Order: sequence, then C-alpha cells, then structure tokens
Amino acid sequence: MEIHRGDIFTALEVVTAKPNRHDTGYRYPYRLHNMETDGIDGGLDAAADVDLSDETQDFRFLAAIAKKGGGGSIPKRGEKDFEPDGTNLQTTALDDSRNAMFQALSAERTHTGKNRVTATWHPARRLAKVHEQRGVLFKSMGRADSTGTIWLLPEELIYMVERGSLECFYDSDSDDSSTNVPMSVQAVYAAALAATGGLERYQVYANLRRTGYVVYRDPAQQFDDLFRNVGYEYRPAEAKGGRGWGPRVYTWGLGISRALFASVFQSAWRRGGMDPFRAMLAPGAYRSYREIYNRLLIPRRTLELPTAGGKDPRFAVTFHVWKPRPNFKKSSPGPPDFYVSVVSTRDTRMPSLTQVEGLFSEIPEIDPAKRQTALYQALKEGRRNVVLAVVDYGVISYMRFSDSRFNEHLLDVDPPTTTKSGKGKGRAPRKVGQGNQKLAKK
Amino acid sequence: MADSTPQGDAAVAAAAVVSHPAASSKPKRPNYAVIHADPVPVALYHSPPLIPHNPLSLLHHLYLYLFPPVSSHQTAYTGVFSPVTMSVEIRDPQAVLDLWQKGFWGKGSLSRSEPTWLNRELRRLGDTEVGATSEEITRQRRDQRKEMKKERARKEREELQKVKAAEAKGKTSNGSTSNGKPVVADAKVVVDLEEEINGLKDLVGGSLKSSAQTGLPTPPLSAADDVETQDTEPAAATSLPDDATPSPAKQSQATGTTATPSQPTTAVEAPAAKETITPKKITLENREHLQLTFQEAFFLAYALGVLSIRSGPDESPLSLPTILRLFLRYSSFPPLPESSISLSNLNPDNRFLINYVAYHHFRSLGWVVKSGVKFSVDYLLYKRGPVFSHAEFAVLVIPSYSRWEGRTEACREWDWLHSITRVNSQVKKTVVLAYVDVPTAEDVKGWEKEADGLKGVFAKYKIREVALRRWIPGRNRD
Amino acid sequence: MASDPDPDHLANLRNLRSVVEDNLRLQHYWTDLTMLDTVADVQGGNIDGGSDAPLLRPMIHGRPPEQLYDPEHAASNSSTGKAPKPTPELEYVFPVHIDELFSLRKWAAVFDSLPKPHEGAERRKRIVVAVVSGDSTVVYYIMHDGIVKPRQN
Repeated sequence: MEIHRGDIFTALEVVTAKPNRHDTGYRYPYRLHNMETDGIDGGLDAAADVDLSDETQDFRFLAAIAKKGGGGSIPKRGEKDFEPDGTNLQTTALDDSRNAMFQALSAERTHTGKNRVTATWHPARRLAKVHEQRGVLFKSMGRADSTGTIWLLPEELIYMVERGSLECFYDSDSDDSSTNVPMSVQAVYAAALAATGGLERYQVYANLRRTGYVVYRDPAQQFDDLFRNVGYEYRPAEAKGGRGWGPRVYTWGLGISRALFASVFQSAWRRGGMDPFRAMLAPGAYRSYREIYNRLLIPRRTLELPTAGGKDPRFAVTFHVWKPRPNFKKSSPGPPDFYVSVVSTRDTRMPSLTQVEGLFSEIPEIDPAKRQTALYQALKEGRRNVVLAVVDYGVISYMRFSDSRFNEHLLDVDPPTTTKSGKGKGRAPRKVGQGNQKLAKK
Repeated sequence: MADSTPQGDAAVAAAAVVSHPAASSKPKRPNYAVIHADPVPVALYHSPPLIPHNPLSLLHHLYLYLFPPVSSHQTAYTGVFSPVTMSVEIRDPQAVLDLWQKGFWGKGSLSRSEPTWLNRELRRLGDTEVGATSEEITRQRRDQRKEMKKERARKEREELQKVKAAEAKGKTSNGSTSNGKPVVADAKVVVDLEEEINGLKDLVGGSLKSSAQTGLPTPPLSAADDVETQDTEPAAATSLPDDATPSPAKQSQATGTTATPSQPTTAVEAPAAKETITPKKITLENREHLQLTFQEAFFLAYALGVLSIRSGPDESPLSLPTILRLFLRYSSFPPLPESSISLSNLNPDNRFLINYVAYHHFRSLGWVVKSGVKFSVDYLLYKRGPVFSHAEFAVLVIPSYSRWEGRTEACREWDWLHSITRVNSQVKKTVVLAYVDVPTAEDVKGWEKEADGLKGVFAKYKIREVALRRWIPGRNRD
Repeated sequence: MASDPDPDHLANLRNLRSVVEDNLRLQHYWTDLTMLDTVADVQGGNIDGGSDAPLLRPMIHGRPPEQLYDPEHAASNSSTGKAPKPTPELEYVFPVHIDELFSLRKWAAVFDSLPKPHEGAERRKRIVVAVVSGDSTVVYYIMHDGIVKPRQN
C-alpha cells in the first residue's frame, strides 16, 4: 500500500549544529551525496537541485568565525532537530544560535577614510555621478562618459550604498558637491528604486551580485544611451528574420524520402479511396524499426505565432549575467554566461507558449560547436536557455528554461546487431540532417 | 469491475510457468536486451540481402518494395474497451506478454508496471516454482528502511533519556563544549545498518535468477515505482534472495529453506536446499489484465494497426471512428455526454486528442512513454524502456491556445510548478513542459475529406518542449 | 449531506469505486471491505434508524493488512517498541478520479459525513483518498481534517 504523505506543515525548525556528524551526513540513509552550497559544506540531501541556503541556519557558526577573526575554516551546516525534546541542552543550543545571530547583526560597520567613495544622485538623468572611483567594485560597475566621469545605474548605486561601500548625496541643482544633501539608505531607496525597474528586479540584481556574478541590464532595458553600447553581440543574429519560428517544416531523419514515397505511393496504389482513419503503418515488409518509426513521425508545420499582441514585456530578458572571473573587463565583457528574466508572482503565472517563445526569441542560440552532444545533456541544455528569476514577495526562485527540441533527436530503435540496412548503428541518437529538409515537404 | 470482467477465459494455470531449471552458480539478470529487442509489436521482414550488381536481386527487391508481403503484421491483438476502468483491457496471456515485451505497452492492473499479480499470488499461496517479483523486492526494501528508522528512533530515544536523566541530576551544565549538544542519534548505527543492506545487495548482486530462468522478466525497480527510491543505477535496484522474502519463506520453512536476512551468505541460492523443497503447484484464476491507456490503445490501433478493440469479449471489433468517439467521450471524468461528440465537427480542444498528440510525438521519436501520475506529471520518458534505465524526463502536457482568438490562456500558478519541479528533482528527473498548441475547430474542419485524414489533424497541433531545471546561483559560478 | 441526483453520475462513481475495491482487495490485501452508499451504511450499528439518504459519494470501509500511519497515534506507537501488533484500524476510503477538481468545501462535506464511533464522541478525522487514473494506477493519500504533526523522516 503506498501512502503518499503530504506534509501539512513543515517540521518545526530547531536548527542546531552537530559538528561531529556533519561529515557523514547519514541521518537520511538514502541520501548519500555530500553537497556544497553557498560555500557552506556538509550534506544532508542528495538532490542536486535542493538549495540548503533556503533553510534556516544555525547561526552559532557566526560566533565561531567572530572568535577566529573571520578567517579559518568554513563553517559547517548543522542538522535539524525534529521537535522540541524538552531538554535544557536543546533550549540552550537554540538560544546560543539566536544570540549569535543578533550579535553578528549588531556589530558596528565602519569605513576607513581612504576607501570612502561618494556619488551624487541625478534624478533627472536617473544615474549617480561618482566623484572619485575607488575599490574593486568599479571593475564591474558603472560606466565612464566621454569626459571620464563615472556614472552608476540606480541598481548599482543602491547596491553599493546597501553594502556601505558608497555615500550618496542628492543633486541640488548645483555642481558644487559641498552643497549637496547627504542621503540615508532609505532616501536612496526612495529616490532610485523605481528607476531600477521595480523592487523585484533590484532584489534579483542584488542577490546575483552578492553571490559574485557580474550583472548588467539587457541593453533593451537601458534607459540611458551611455549604457546601451555593451561591446558584444547580444541579439540573436536572425531574430528579426523569424529564425526558429518561421514557417518551417520540421525535418526528420535519414530514410524519410523512402518512407514518404512509400506511404504515398502504397496508399494510393493499394487502397484506392481515401480513408481518413488509415493506419499510419501500412501493412508491408519492413526491414528495420527505423523504417517503421519514420512512418509514425508526423511532419509538423511550425505555425507562425500571432504577432498582434506583440511580445509580453513581463517576459523579457532583464539581465545579462557573467560568472565571476578575475580578468573581467566591463568595456568588453564578451557574451554573457546567462540570460536572466525577472518575473514577479504578483503579476505573472507560468508562461504561455507565446510568452516562452517571445522570451526565447531574444536569446541567441548556443554555438552548435559548443552544444552538448550527449542526448540527455543536449535536451536539458537546449538550443538556448534562459534563467527565470521568479520573485515571490522577496523569495527568489531561479529556474532555467531550455529550448529542448526533442524532435531533433531520434532515438535509435534498432538493436545494434541488426544493422541490415546500414541504419541504426549503435545506440547514440542521431541528429536530424538539415539537408533533408526539402524531402520532408510535400 | 466485476460487471465487465470476462471471467471465463481469463483463468490461467500456473502450469504455464516454466519449471525451475538447475541452479547455475552465478545468478544473472535476465537479458533484457534480448527480451525487449523489439520496440514495437511488429515483426520485421528479413529479406535476402540486396546485391546491387545482380539484376535479379534488384528485381526481387523492387517487387517487395511495390508489393510488400502483407502478412508481416496484422491486427494481432484484441483489447476490450472498459467504461469502468476507462481504458482498454488485454487479457490474452500471449498478447499481454508480447505487448509488454515489445515496447512496454500498458500496465498490469494489479501491479506496479509489468503484470506480476498471478506470480505474486502464487508465491503467496506457497507455490515454489515462481520467481520473486519486483513488488516483493520493493516491499523488502521498504521493510528494511522501516526497520532502520525504527532502530534509529530507538537510539535517539535512549540518548534523549540519558540527556534528560543527566539534566535531572542537576548536571545541566555546558558539559558539552561550545558547540552545543552531543549527538543524539548514533549515526554509526544507521551507517552500519546501511552497510549491511548494501552488503546484502552486493552479495546477491542484481540476481533475479529464478525469474530469469522462468523467462518471466522482472524489471528492476524504476524510480517510477517508488517515490522514495533514490537509486540512480537500474543495476543497483536491490534484489534480495528469494528465501528472504517474508511470506513464502515463512511458509516453506517447514520444508527446509531457512536462510535468514542476518545470514546473507546462505541466502545465495543453495542448490542443496532445492532438493528438500516439496514442489507445490497451484492453479489460480488470473484476476489481472494488462491495462492500456486510451493513448496507448489508439497508438496501437491507429498508428501501428496491430490492435483491434471490442466493447466486450464476444463483440465484433469496433471501427476506428467508433473507437475515437469513445475515447473522446471518456477523456474526462465524468465522461462527456454522447451528444457532445462529433467527428465531422471535431473539437480539437479535447483532452484525449491533446494527450494523444503529445504521446504520439514522443513515442514516434523513439521514447517509451509511460504515465507519470506518481510524480504529478503526465508522462515519463524512458530511453528503450523502464527495465533499462530510470526515466530521465517527466513531461507536463500544457495545452496552449495561441490560435484561439479572444481566449485567455489559463496558465497555472508558479507555486504549482515549483512543487512539481521539487518533487521531480528529488528523484533526479528533469521536468519538461510540452506545450501543445491546439488548433481551432475551424483549422481542422473538413479533415475527413483530406488526403491525410486524422494524421493531418494531429499535424495541426504544434508541440514545443521546454526543459526546466532549478538554477542555484551558488552552484553555477564554476 | 448533498445527494447527487444524477443517476448516470452515480453509476460512474460506482464504477470508480469498483476499481478501487479490486485494487484494495487484490493488490493490497485489504479485508472486511464494505461498500458504503447511504448514511445508514456509514453509521453502521452505531446509531439506530440511520437515514437511507445517499452519501455524498460512494465510499469503502475496510481494513488494511497493517496499521496505516496515523499522525495522532504515531508518538505512542513508536515508544511501545516490540509490543505485539494490534489489529489494524478500519479505514474509510474515498475514491476520486484524477481529472476531478475538489474544493475545500467539498472536502469538508466529506469529513462531516464521517460517523462518530459512539454517541457523543468526536467523528473520525481522516480518510484515505484513492486517486484513480486511466493506466490503472491508484495512488492513495491519507487526508486529515485539520493540521497534524508531520511525520519524522
């Protein structure tokens, strides 16, 4: 009898570290692999897509770090207790953890004078003018105009102010920065958040930056000319030509000419009249299963999508994202590693086909030479993919949507030994040849 | 179900099961590559080799080409449409075996996948000539897991008692240093238990000996069989010594098979024990049928043309139009009213048609497509079949109406998708959204007069797959 | 309790139930299976003069071969250790089809129709939902009226 248990509410999260056990991770005996997440080692869960950073942490590791002066070993993640067990031990552990968190939060953050960076927010231009650039952040943020002045986008500004890396002033119609008004963090939010494109976008931006990525807006989302020139090819070359979605007939593998000829010929010859329910596989002599499968394929005319409504602006590429790399150059970053589209659960649901296609059409296909060749990998990666950052009132879930194209991978159906007709050698799936395109047309 | 079950001809004697040949020293898995060599239940025609420079050979081939031997495949199998199970039922034992072996069609109505009910029942009643079934193996694994958890819970309770006793004595101190409490549960116990189980696995290493010998393939447990299963290697699917199976072992203890799970070495089939078993043969009526979904049945009947469907065991075969009408009607629950189904005014927005188009799409590309109901998806895609590997892809069929003017797409909420991707990532499957763009009634009007007929209707559905994967920033930085 | 006036639909629901009945009996070895169709069927011998009004939907009453997990008794069960196994409790099984949609109101009505063990006692708080799909898979869920303690993994 199978009973699928729906968790009605999640386990009471009393999280305490059990350092002498973290290295086994055997509490769940059928989840064996260790995993790493956000630099915190120790594994309880095998599933590759489970993000332990979702879970409440035992903050006592913070105290340990503080004692050691920040360096040293990476703290280990603890293990959840199931419920309060009534022991003082557990209560004490919980209190310790909570106190460690408060202590960490209450630490005073200081800035040294020589690293002090200041900028002025220009509401009219919706950019912040940096007075003097200092620090590593500028390697991947801001942009210099023709006079050499560095300007920051609103998200860059807020991020730096949040981190305490920059002090911001409000532009009071004077070039003399000494008369400008200093802004609090709240004031910076109030002034600049709308210009980031909304809270959700900023949340994703900050999350990715904090994780170490370099993040720039998609050029189409830039409102200032200064930032529009990105120094790399970012649009699919033939996007306007309707590549991928045009009236194109899906093509099928080798041998289709014979299959098509045979089916048309045979049916006309033998059956005479038309039977709308004619079996797709006419009785006959088939020498391989490939032959049989070719007749089962339904050539599918790709339909043009109605363009009347146009693309849904809610499903568009928001950010171009690069993995952290030491030699990153903001003037010539090269093509991004990821395309991220920020959507909010407030005003979106799962994308419809039209929305998905609209989104894919903004993204270049992966260079055929660089595509995965193994069947599963190729299907998972797709011709192109986009990361949707689904923001649900502050909680971000990233999901990669890949343009899979199963129809381009015919699985081998003949056993390796019966290579009678020279088809079906081996088990590897074969790519559908582009050269057969015309044969598939009727 | 009794009201539609043809009881008379369904009785199958256990004698049909081949008796146990002498035990070989090394247990082997059944040779699935041979048993399941054919991907569809259609026989290939093996013509003499073509010799291009021999005109006779060429002529012969031309002849075959133009006038193929029709006998190569016929409507070889018969199924019965059942309004009760809302499916097509196959009861002829040969048809059941064929359809399972050649393409993994259907599911045993009382089994997890392959029909094994009769074997299970025979073993339960003490028949000694039937091999272990995958269901029993799963059961054992679950029982072991249960035991392991029990043992763990016991250890935890003991530790808790100790801590409480110590605290009661006033030794509440921070005797345990800075980092909190000591281990409550003894991890070692769990590890040991686990090693023991793994040892058992290794010892009998995928042995399904008896079933291999009887020629009744017993598939390894696929993830589809067990939501809790975390094994990724099909070969690692546990199979335990037959003697250790609970009920039959107990019943046969009097006759001398006394291997206990704690003595795994003796559990590897000992030929000596064989002789002491009193052979027992039992005759039993098979209450199980092979159940084809409407998608599977229609593929076999329409696409391959190897299945005829009747409304009762003694009725004459139904025509394809009648079958289609039935399937369209029973595509939802409760079934649609008879009067709402029209073939000439075909409504393309019918759940059967949409699911069939998706099913046909993946089947025709070479995937073995099975129901994904246990993983909250529509289909699972297997490469070659469930006995060879776990399903890598879990397909959600998403109807789309971009051609329906003025119709707003009824998309699901994000949290629905999140829960499905979460469930499937736990079992290492990739969720694939299969968008099926539905043509309008206008688009398919007059289809029965077109040369392509029904195939032309299916061709008007557009399909597009999107593979999903949870993306974790912390793990994509390289 | 709302009765379903449509006899066709009742026939469909009975069909559904017969699938679940076979599955419980033959695949999962449940015993003491009784079909419940009316209020009187559900109440059994507990209350005199039970109504013969039809149930919201046909249900099944039966005994699993082993006690099903019960969150309310889980704690006490786990501490008893190796005591002899008590007879498994009888369960109420509620068949549904995978394509059906249910609202919270409908579920509440199902729970409200469950009997009380005896006069003045609280009614049963849980059912076993049997979800039937076209490939013959029946997936069972324990559904509880209200919040219960989750199961320890």
